[in-house]
Amino acid sequence: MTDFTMPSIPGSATARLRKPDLSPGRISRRYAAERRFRLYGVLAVGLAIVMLALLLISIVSKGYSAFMQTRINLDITFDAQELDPQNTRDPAVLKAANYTPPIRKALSAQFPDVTERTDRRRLYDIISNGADRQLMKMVLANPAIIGTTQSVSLLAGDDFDMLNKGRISRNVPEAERVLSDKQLGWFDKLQSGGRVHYAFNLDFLTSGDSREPEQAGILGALIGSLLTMITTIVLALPLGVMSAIYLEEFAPKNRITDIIEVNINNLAAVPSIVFGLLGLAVFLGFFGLPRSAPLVGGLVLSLMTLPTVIIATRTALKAVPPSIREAAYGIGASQLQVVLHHVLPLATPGIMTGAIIGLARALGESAPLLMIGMVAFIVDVPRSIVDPSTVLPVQVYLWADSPERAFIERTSAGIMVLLVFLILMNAAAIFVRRRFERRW
Amino acid sequence: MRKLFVAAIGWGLAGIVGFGMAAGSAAARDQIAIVGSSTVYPFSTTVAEQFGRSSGFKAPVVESTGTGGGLKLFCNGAGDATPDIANASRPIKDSERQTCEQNGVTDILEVPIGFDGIALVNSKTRAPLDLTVKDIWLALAREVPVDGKLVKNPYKTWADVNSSLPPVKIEVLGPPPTSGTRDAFVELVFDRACRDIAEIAAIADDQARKAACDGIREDGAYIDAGENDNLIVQKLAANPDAFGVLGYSFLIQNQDKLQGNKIDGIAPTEEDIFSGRYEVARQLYLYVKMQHLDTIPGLPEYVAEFVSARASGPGGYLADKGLIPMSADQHQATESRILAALGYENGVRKTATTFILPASVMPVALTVALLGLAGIGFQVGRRRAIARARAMQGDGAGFGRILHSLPGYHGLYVMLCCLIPGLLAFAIGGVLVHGSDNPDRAWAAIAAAVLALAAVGLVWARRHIRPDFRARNLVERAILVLLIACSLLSILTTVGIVLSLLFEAMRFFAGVPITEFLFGLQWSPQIALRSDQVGASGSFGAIPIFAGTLLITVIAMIVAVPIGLMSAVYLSDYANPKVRAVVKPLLEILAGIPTVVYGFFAALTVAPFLRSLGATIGLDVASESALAAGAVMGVMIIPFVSSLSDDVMNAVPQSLRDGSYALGSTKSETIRQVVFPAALPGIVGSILLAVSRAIGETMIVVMAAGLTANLTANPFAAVTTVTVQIVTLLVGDQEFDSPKTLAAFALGLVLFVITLCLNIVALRTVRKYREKYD
Repeated sequence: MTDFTMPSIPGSATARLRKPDLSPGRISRRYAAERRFRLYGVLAVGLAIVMLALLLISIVSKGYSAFMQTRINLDITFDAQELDPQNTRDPAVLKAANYTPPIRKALSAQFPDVTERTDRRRLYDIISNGADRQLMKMVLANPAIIGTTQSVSLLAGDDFDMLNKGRISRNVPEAERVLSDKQLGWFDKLQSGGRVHYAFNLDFLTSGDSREPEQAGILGALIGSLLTMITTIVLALPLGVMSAIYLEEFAPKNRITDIIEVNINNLAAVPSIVFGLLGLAVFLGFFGLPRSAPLVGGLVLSLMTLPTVIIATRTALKAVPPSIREAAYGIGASQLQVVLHHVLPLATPGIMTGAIIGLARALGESAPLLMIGMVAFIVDVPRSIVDPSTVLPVQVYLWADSPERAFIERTSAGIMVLLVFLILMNAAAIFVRRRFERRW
Repeated sequence: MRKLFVAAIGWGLAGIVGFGMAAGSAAARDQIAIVGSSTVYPFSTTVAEQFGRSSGFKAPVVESTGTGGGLKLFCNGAGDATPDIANASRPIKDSERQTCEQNGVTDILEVPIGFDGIALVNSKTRAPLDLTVKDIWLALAREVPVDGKLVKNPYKTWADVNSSLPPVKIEVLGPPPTSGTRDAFVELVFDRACRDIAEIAAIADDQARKAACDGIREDGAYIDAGENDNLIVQKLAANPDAFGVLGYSFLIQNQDKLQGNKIDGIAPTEEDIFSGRYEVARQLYLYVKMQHLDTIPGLPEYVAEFVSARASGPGGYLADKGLIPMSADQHQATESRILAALGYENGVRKTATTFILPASVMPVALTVALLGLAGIGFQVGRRRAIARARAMQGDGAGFGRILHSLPGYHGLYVMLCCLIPGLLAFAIGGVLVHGSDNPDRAWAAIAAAVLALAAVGLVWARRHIRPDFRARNLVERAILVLLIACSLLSILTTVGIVLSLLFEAMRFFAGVPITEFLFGLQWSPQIALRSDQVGASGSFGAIPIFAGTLLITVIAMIVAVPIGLMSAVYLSDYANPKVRAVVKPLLEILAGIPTVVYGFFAALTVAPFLRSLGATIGLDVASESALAAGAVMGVMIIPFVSSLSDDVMNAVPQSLRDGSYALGSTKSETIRQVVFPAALPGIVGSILLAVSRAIGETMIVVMAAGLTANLTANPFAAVTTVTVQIVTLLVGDQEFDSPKTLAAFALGLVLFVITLCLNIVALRTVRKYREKYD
C-alpha cells in the first residue's frame, strides 16, 4: 500500500492532486492483499489453537496411563511361623511383622531357577516395595488368613509397570534399557501365566507422595492446595471487598486515593515471585510463622489475589445502576446502609465471579510457594493449615524433577488433575455469571 | 440477602477462630523436621516413608538443603522452630560445632549410616574414560602449573590435559560449595592430586597451599549446577559431552542413562567402593539434636529405624536405593552404640517421650472467650436499647420510634467497645510474650488483661445507651475506618515489598558495590559459606543475567506479538460471532494454564524437539536453549497481547473506520492505516504489560532455561534469567546473612523496579489513550 497517499491540503506548498489509479490490476492487487491479511489472521489464531492442542495432547498422552496400574497376582503363603510365631494374633505383633519374605518366597516359587543373589534382587523388583503394607492390612483385617495361602493382587514395581504400559521399549539394546533381558523374560512368563492385571489406580487419588513412583499419589498435594485456597479466600475476599467498597463508594477523589488506585493496578502486575520474597522476608523471617505451611502459602497468595478481587468488586459495584442507590437514599437510608443493604447484595454475583477467577489463578501458582519452603518431601496428608504440605503445582514441579522415568507419567497425571480443578473453577465462575448476574 | 450477610459474618468469625486455633497449634510440632545433604536425601526420604507407614508416627518432613546449609539451620538453636536432624555427606566441622554450641545446641549425636562413592559420570552414549586424579585436578583447578609457575588454568579440552584423552571440551557439572559432595570431591581428588604436584607441595604455608590446591576454576569449565542432583542427571543425559560429579546412588538410579568413569583405573562399583579400592568414597551421617529427643514424637524411633538392619544394614532396603552399607559387624556395633545413646535397652526405650503441652492453647481459648464476650455485648446493647425505649414509651408497639438508631446498632456499638480494647491488648500482649521465659504465665496474664479490658468496655458502653444515643453514626464511622484500613492494605503490601527487598538488598550492597552488581560482566554467586572452605570467589556482576532475561523476553515477544495482534484483528474484525464465541475462550485457556505446566511442556517436549531438529540441520542447540523457554513463554503470553489489543482496537471510534470505508479502502487497509495508527499507543501499552509479564515469569524458565550465566545473544545457547537465579539462590539455603541469599533480594529489587516502571508507563499510556477517545 505504499502508493496510497493521504490527500494533501490544497494550497500548501506540496499540494499536488494525484489522479487515483483505478486500473483493474491495482484493484485485484488490493483484494489480494486483503485476502492475505485475512489469511494471516486465520494463521495466527490457528497457530495459537494448535499450540494449545499440542500442549494438552502431549500432557494427556503422557499422563492418562497413570490412572491405570499394573498388578500382579501371586500366591502368598501367610506363614504363621514367620508372621506370628507366638500365635498371639495380637494386632501389635501382626503390625510389626515383616511381610516382605512371603512376597519374595512367592516370587521365588514362580521362578525356582533364579538363584544368584543379584538376579534375585532384580526378580524382587517385579513387585513394588510397598506391597508388604498391603499384606499387613489384609492380615490385620482378617487374622484368620494366617497359615493359609491366598491369591493376592500386588502392585508391580515402577519399571515393570512402565514396561506393561509400553513406555519402556523392548527394541533397544539391553545396555540402554532399565530392565535386563532376563527381567523381560520373567515378566513375559508371568504375563503368559495370566498373572498380570491392569486395573484402575485408585491409590493415585487417595495417597500422599512417595519416593516410589508406583505408590506416589496426589491426595496430599490436593488437600494442601485446598487448605491454601481456603486460607486465601478467607483473607482475600473480605479484605478485597471492603477495600473496593471504600474506593468505589466512599473515597473522595484526591491524591491519596489516586495513589491507592494506581498502586492496586500495579500490584496486579507485579511478578508473583516478588510476593514470594515478601512472604519469605516478612511472614517467615519477621513473624516466624512455620515453614512449608498452607497458612503462609495462603497469606502470600491472598496478597497476590487481592488486587484481582478489588478490581472485580469495583467493576461489579459500578454496574449497579444509580437508581437503586437513589431509591434507597429516598427512603432515608444512610450511605453505609445503601451500600451494605442494597448495592453489595446486587453486586455479589459479579464479586463471586471475580473471586473465583482470582482463586483459580492462585491455585495454579507455584513460584512464590517455592520461596516459603512448600517444596519439602511430605508423605502425610496435611490436616491443618500449619501442617507442612505442598500444593498441586509444586507437586508437579517436584515430580518433574525426579529421576525415575515413571514420574513423568505421574507428573502429567498431576497436571491433568490440576487442570480439571481449574476447569471446574472456571466453569463455576461462568455458571455464577450466567445464573445470577443481572443486566440492567 | 441480609441472611447472606449474617452468614458471611458468621463464616468470617469462624475463619478467625480457625486461624487462632491454627496459630495455637503452630508451636507444637508433632513431625520430625529433617534438612541437609542432597546425597542423603533419597535415603532419608525412603526411611521417612517407611517409618511413617510402619510406626504410627507421622512421616518426617525432609527438605534438601545441602550439608552446609542444613547444618547451618540445624545449628541455629534448640527448640521447635529448628530442625531435629541434619543429613550430612561429610563429618561436621569444628567451626560448625562451635556455631552450634554458641546457639545452645550442645548435645549432638553423630550417626554414621553407610558409604557413598563419588563418581565422575557422563552419558552412556560416549565411551567411558580412564582418568587419574591428576587429570581431573588439571582439568578443574583454578590455577595449574605451567613451566614451573602457577597460572590461570589454560586447558580447554580433555586432550589438553592428557594427550591420551579425547579432544572434548571440558564441561563438568557439579554441586556448589554448600554441598558435602563437593567438599568430599575436593578432599578426595584434589588433595590427593596435589601431593604429586611439586609446585603446590612447595608452598610452605598450610593455608595458602590448601587454597592453591582446592580452588575450582570459574571460567565456565566447572558449572555450578545447584544442590539438585537430579537436575545434573537430566542435564548429563541431554549433553553427552558433559561430565558430572555425582553420588554413586544417583549413578545406580540412572544406570540406563549414565556411566561412571574409572578413576585411577578403578570404576565405581559396589564391590570396589565397599572394599575401599575405589578411593573416592565417603561416609554419610545423620546429626541428631539430642535436646529434641524427648520433645519431638518419634525422633528416637526414627533414628532407630534408620540404623536398623532392615534399613541400613547389608541387604537392607537402603541398599536398593544405592547406599553402600557398612559390613555386618561394623553395622551391628554401630547400631547397638546408637541405640544405647538414644536410651534403648533391649529394644525398649527407658524414658518414655514426654510431650510438652503447647503453651499456645491459651491464645485459642482467649480468642474464643473474647468473641463470646463480644457476642454477649451485642445482645446486652440491643436489649438495653429496647428496654430503655420501652421504659420511656411504655409497652406500646411504637417504642422503636423514639430510638435514634435501630437496636442492632446499639448492640454493635457495645460489641465494638468490647472488642476494640480487647483486640488491642491481645495484639500488644502477643508481641510482648515472645520475649518471655514462661509463656504459660505470660499468656495467663494477657488473658486476664484482655478479658478485663473487654468487660470494662462492655459495661462502659452499656451505660450510655439511651434512645437518643446516636449509635448508628458511631458504628458507621467505625466501619468506615475499617474500610479505609482495608484499602490501605494494598499500599502496605507495596511498602512491605519495597522495604523487605530494599532492606536485604542494602545489606547486599554493603558487601558488593552497586556498580559492580549493575555493570559487572561475571556472575558466579557461589561463595564459600565457611572460612575453611575454598569456594568460588564470588562475583556478582548481573549483566549476563539481565542479558539472558532480555534474550528470552525478546524471543517470547517475537512469538507473542504477531500472533497475538493478528488474532486480535481477526477476532474483532473478520471472524463471525459464532467463531468468535468459540475461539476467544480457547485463547483465554492459554492464559489460565498454570505456568508450571508450560515449564514441564517446554522442558520435556519442546526442548528435546528443538534439540533434535537442530541436530538434523547441523545446529548445536543446547538442551536448555533460550529458544525453547522463550517460545513457550511466548505462547503463554499470546492471550495477554490479544485480549488487551482487542480492547484498545475496539475503543477506536467507529466513525474513523466508517470514514475510511467511505473513501473506498478495504478492511485490511482500514485496519492497517487507520485503526492501527490510532490504537498504537494502546497497543504499545499492552505489549509493555506483556513484556513485564514475561520478565517476571518464573516457572517456565526455572524448568526449561539454564543455570549458568552466559553472556550471549545466541538463542540456541543456554542462558539464565533473574527469576531463575532468585529461585536457585534461595531454595535450599535459607540463611539470611550470606551475600548469596542477599543477592537474590537485590535481583528481586531490580525485577520489581523494572516491572513497576513498565507497568506505570504502560498503564499510563493505555489510560491516556482511552481518555482521548472517550
